[in-house]
Amino acid sequence: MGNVTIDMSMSLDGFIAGPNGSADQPLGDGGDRLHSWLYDLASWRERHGMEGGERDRDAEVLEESFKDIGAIVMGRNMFNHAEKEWGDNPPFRVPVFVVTHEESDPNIQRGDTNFTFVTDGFQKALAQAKSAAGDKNVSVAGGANIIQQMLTAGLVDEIQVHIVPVLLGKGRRLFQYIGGQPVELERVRTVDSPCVSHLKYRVVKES
Amino acid sequence: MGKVLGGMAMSLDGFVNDSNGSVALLYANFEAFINTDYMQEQMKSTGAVVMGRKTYDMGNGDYTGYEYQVSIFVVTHKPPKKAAKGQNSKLKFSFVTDGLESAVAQAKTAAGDKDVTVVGGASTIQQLLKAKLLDELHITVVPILLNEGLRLFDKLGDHPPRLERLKLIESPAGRTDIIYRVVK
Repeated sequence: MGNVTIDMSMSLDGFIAGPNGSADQPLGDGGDRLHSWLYDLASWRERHGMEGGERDRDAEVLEESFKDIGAIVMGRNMFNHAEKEWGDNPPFRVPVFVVTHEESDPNIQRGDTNFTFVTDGFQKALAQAKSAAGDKNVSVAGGANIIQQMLTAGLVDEIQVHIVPVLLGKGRRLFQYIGGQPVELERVRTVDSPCVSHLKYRVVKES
Repeated sequence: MGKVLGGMAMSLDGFVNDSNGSVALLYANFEAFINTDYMQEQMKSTGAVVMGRKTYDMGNGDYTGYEYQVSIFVVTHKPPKKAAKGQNSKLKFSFVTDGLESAVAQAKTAAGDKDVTVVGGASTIQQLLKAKLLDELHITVVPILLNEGLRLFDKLGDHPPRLERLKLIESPAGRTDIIYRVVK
């Protein structure tokens, strides 16, 4: 059985997007700075149908995340905001389960990626994603709301944050005030470059 | 001229204390923390300290054997009535009532070629960042999600300073120290 993972680029002050996110600007005002470390990497470019790019440690970290993912869960907002940017062949190439309250087609195929719209809650979406992923990981891709829900429900096994040396000041935070007991983490590894610090943790589950 | 260094330990989700104001979970292993090479080096390079008043009060008036044996400038509205214990020819407290900027300036003079280390809470760090008084920001990411409490990075205004990542250190107990240069 694979893990349920969160893998997000975050500013040092905790934001995963700037304010005013929309379909024209999925990462909000100033939010591009959080993903700029990705754009020149060979592994990112390959995913987005481009050639060339850097093959450094940052690229390896990204490639490692990609290759372990067997399915993805995301919120409807993220889908709505990013759909246009993904174009005809979204970069996932694994089954994606979109949690939504809106009526929609249950299923759409875009290039190599199949999107299933799940209307009966994030737990159901996660269960479907786990079964689709088999031995591989299920990545909870965002937005912040669904990540909060998964964290609150204790469903996350692994958290990787790519801390970008930026203070954004405002926007959408990855971690909100969700309350409840503190959650102990175990550092799995760090990888570091001037552009970004990759910190990977395992969530310590109470036995 | 030395640098002005400041920072704090925060949980991965960005909090510097829990909902009860306790920092116990972030400094569970304080001995290990101050014995890291980075902290030892920083203590040696520190020529003066700026301290927030709440932080000062956490010492309960006794600074015997305090890790920074230098002049310490405490930012406060009202100096305490009783002198702290543990002062000596090197460790001396001064109480600065005309603001953080003044305290930093006085500490710089006292430090000479050495660095000024700021030991304070989230609000002190926020003020330093806003006023562009900090040269290096030292964040210790503690492997825990506190889920609530006081945020380190808040109220930074519309134009927070730019940062450059200088180095990352894997410290004991799963703590990760990241040092940033604050671009002025």
